[in-house]
Amino acid sequence: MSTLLHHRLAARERLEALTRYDVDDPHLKQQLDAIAMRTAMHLHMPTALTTLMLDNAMLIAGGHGVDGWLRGGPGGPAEWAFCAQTVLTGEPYIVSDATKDPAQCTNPVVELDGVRAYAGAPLITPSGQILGAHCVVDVTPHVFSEQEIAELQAAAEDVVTAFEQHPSRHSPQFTPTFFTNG
Amino acid sequence: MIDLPHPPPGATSGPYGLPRPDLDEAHLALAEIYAEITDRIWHQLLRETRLTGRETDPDALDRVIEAMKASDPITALCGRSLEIRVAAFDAIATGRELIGSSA
Repeated sequence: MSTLLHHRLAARERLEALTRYDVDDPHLKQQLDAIAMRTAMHLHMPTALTTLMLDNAMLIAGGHGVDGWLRGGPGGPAEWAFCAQTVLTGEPYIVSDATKDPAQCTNPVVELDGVRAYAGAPLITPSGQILGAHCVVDVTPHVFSEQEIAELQAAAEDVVTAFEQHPSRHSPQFTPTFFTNG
Repeated sequence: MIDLPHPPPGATSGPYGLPRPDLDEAHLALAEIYAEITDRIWHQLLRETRLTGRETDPDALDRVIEAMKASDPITALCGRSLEIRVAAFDAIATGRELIGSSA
């Protein structure tokens, strides 16, 4: 993959932040799916996702309307991920019509999955690390309003709160269940 | 705007410039994260998987990925990344074969 892209995503501090959350917790997945469904409904989009950018791939942590996406896999290469832009800039990344966007028009998810519109908001932890993105996707072009982007950013904050509630055993916030059960 | 090349520089084989990950890519992925201590971690993984690092078959990469996923949390994330890239390559390559076989 692109060495520069990999180098930027492989920052040790960001990856350490990712390890502090139990991304495989089924309850977290349920919460992320529910937030995605709410975002999709509010923005009238068929698909909403929460993604985590690993060092050279995107992992889909939760979503709504994702069936058939990315060949049904758990994610995709970082260089194909719109969300990589969101993570690297730390700001909302918006594509109204990917077929007319020079940076995305030859992207396989545009050619194979038919993605046309994308808006993503970064998932910023309390310590300032960017884990991934909360995003919406459509197969038809769409011009996003400021209100829609603000709603997406608010949902991204809800996603971060959900992650904070699911620390991994590598997190300082982790409390073994035998301390909390009974 | 960050430039994300499609395909990435140097990637000349595979669908959409995505080569199937191999042991070299696994080693390079670790080097981006661990820099000067990469070789110690890499040789530990090779010892655990009883590989030389020169193997080119998919099974060798699968074994290294499994060893990475069972290692420390950051190496495990790196292994998961490689697993996703393998899945993407295989899915697209299979799709192309299906298209080719029906043509």
